[in-house]
Amino acid sequence: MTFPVEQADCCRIVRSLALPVARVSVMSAELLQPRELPEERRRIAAEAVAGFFGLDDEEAFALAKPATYEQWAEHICRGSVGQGRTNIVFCTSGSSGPPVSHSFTAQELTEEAQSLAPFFADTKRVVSVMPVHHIFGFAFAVMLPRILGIEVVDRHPLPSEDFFRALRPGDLILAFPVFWKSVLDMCSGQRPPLLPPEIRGVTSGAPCPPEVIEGLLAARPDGAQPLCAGMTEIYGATEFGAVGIRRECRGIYSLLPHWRRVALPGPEGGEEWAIRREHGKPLPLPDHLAWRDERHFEPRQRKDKAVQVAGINVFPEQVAEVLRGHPLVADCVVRLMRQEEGSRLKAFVVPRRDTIAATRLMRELRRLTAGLEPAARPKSIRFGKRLPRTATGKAADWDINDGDAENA
Amino acid sequence: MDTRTVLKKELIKELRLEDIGIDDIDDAAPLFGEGLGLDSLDAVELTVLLQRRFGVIIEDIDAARNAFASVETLVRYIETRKDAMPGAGPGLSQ
Repeated sequence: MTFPVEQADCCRIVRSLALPVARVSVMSAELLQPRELPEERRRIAAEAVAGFFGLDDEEAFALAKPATYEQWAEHICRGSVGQGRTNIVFCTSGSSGPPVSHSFTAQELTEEAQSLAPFFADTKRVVSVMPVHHIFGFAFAVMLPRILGIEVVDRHPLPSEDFFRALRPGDLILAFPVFWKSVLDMCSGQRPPLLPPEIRGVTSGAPCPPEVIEGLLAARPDGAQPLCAGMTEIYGATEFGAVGIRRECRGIYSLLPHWRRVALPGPEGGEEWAIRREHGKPLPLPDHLAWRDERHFEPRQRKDKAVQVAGINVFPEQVAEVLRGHPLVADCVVRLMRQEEGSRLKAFVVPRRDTIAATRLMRELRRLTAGLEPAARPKSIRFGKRLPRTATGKAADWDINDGDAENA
Repeated sequence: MDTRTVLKKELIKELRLEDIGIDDIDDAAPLFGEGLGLDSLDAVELTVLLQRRFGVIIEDIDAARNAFASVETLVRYIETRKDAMPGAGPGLSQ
């Protein structure tokens, strides 16, 4: 058993959880200490920390006192967390709808890390840009380094000089698809190279476009080494953690060793596949999977119609509902941009007739969606007299650069 | 075209500020939050834009915080960094 969480890791997690309410300013990684925070913000940070570590009321109460993050971590590790007696709770983002929490026992998290470890046995160091309170950040930047006995380095998710300088040959970089795309865009054709040799990558949190992975692994035009020596894609979700792994882009996923496929009764007397841990109950997956055999699969579309933006599940229909809440919006549709358009949401809005100027409506819609978290805000909003349809009347995609759409 | 104008054009194009023209961007207005309304996901794209278009790599998050404050601070950062990295294609001096 690799639990309990060590104090140094606990402090990383506490700081990561506090970041949204304690950063010195927008875009800053520097945090105000709990004692420097206004009471309300300190309470929000303390609740996030208590929720993550499953602290009881008495343990959580102590966090409300002004202190430092180091003191919070020390307090947490002296209690039930330090003895491995608590569950760790990961939350979905709540980008559209209330956040949902998923609780994991120490044993489940340890089994997951042990299951991943053989795939990364020769890793010497992990460099992570994933928050450590995210389920994959926790698995790869807390548990895995601990099991393998290797160093881990956290970096802000910005492809800065500081990030590139931190890298050493042979590092394993843990990042999400948007970050990998930025690395590819910045490194392509650059001399001297920004990445040292033999870098390997892990991507998780959302499907990574195959073009990005192929670009990272491709031989360089001048005969130089590929940007990355290997890329591992992790399939999973907050409610399960890591489920599958693949190292061949566009290939099939292998179910990780701590999972088994099981059949559940499906509609009309058929069967539906679920997965379960050795001693756990069957868990239905959020996606439709095409199974090749008991241990190999390909993900298809999500059952709940969520899409991923920067590793965060967002629900286009719920975002469309927000836009429809504006009195001057007759109808709208929200979709994920096509690969060549970007990686954010886009909206097509049909305004009510004889209303206000497009620029003013645009400003009001931007204001309306500003309350959503960044991943859920449509980056492109186009106006037209009717929603895009195919010749047969089915809902159609639209080009965000297409000037044909009629402005309001 | 001067750095300021090129930067504004690139911001509009690359960050898809489709309801904004060059003249609408106030040099001193905040890029993030109020002002241009950029968000944390735009910060990554902005970092790539600076490197691809101006050959400038943001040093670290603190530099980004200062540089990304407004168009004015960003222009100053680009010009300072370009001077510090002559001909710098974006490789890192070790």
